[in-house]
Amino acid sequence: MLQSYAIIGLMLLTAAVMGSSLLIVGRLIRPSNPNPTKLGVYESGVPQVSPPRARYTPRFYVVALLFVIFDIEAIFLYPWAVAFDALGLYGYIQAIVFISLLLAGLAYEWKKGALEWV
Amino acid sequence: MPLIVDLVNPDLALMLPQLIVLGLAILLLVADIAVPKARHGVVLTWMALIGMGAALIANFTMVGTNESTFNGMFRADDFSVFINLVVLSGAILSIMVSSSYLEGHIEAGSMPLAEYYVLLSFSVLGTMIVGASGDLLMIFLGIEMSSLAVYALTGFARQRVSSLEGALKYFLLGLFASAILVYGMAWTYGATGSTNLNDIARSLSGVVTDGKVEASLLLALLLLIVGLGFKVAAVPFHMWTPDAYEGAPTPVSAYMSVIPKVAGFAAMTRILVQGLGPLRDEWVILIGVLAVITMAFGNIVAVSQRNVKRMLAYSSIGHTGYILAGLAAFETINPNGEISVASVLFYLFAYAFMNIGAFAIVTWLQARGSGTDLEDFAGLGSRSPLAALAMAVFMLSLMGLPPLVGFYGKYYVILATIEADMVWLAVAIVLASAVSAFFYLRVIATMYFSEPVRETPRTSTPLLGFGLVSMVAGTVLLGIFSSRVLDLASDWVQAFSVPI
Repeated sequence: MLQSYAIIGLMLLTAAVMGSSLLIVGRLIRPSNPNPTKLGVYESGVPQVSPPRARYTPRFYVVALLFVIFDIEAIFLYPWAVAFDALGLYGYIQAIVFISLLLAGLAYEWKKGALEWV
Repeated sequence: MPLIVDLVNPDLALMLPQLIVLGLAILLLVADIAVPKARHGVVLTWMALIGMGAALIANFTMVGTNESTFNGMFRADDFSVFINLVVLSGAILSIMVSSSYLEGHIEAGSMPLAEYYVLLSFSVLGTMIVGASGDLLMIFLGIEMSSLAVYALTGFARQRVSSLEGALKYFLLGLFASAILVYGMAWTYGATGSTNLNDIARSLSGVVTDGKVEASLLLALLLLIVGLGFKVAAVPFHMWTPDAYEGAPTPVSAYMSVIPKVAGFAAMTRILVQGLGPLRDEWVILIGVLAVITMAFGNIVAVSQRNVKRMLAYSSIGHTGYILAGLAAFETINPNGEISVASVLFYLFAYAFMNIGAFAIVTWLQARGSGTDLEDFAGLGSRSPLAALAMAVFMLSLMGLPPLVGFYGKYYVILATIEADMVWLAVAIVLASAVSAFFYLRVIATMYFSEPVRETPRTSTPLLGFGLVSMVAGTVLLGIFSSRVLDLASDWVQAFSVPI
């Protein structure tokens, strides 16, 4: 048993040495030549126009969430549609339940005013 | 094609309590937009109470079943029934504690009631799924579902910085723990070739007869224990606990000191006993050492706390230690007289009543404009004798005084450790309880022997009062009927016996 623990310790040690040595060796042998262009944010070759850490409205988050909801809905409905004959009435009811759950979520979001973009 | 047949016809009747809670969560969301704002307090609270009550009743019809569905992912057996019992009773009590606190904040609009109950229901559902899972993946899913909702609940007082701080700490450390946990599950899968708990137990039963355990399996074991140790707040993985409990709104502290802990212990029992039971010799000593450190640290640090919420947070770490000790006494799945897991289950049930009760008194004081420091309890015995009496009962029960349920919880754990020939663990429990007597009795002494600093204005909180009465009744009566509850808890043995 102690031998097994020694193996685990060896593994952890290897992981630590490997990770840190890669960082240290990299720092030692790479040339260091910073200039403003190099330190700037890479924006597909376009010059940077505003600081990248600007605050942005949480509405984007809600939109992303909506996208995920409908995206996932499509992903799950597609296999159901393909296997519609094999799944039969039971699968149909399950899909209806699934869609109505998502609809309840959408109604909630709508009523809470998350879709009003002002 | 048997696979398709099983997927198309899962036995949904086995999931009835879980489905009721899921339905409740969705209905609450709908009710939030359908019910006028002015009536939210009454309608939503009663919906939540009735829904949880219905799930509790449905749960009692499942006693004695021992079946699985969804290809062995989901299990309905006596273990899951008992976990559901603990979780749903805890949830009902928490809702009773929450309602008055939240309604007091509705005016300010800072704590939307509907979202609170929805998050609470989803967290309850996640914990119930952990209790009823037959597969590592379901355990992970349930734990995540339970934790994510509680992270949000911790930061629910979003205008108070300490609440957000507690939520962020809990969230970051919880994520870290989840990553470790899932890494451990991956190693388990790698070493045994399955994520199904019964299959894992079957594939390991040959390993044990050799008496030699592979390093990969041991690593999996360590990672799983570390990951779940975070979830139950075992020392040295407890760092988030005091800040999260102190920062969270008090009813949430009551809730999160019990239900996520139940999820953690349900997962530990499912994984360690049902899945890795054949590796008992390896993990029992780890859990035992963890138990001693946890109960020693929690109880000793609690002594120096002046804030009652923080004190209760450290005391809950101490109780984690006692429950871990019960798990460490596990010997083998034996239909006659294996008491360790039964003692864990019983302790969780007892702990739910007395700990939510203690937080309920803090909530009761806060509803009357008081703070949460020890000084705010000064003279409570003369100001409001009934509340002081209830607090005294909860403190004495947490301490472990004989007629109360806390005593029986500790008694069964100590019995289990002695039966497993781990006397050192029993001695540690007794010593830790002796230390804990200091800070529990200090609250009682402050309530009865200190001059009142302030008045207690009369405020009507009927549901909280009813909840307090039922928790006091539970703390007193569960002790007297402890053997009946223990019989119910002992049925887990049938559920875990794996046909090899």
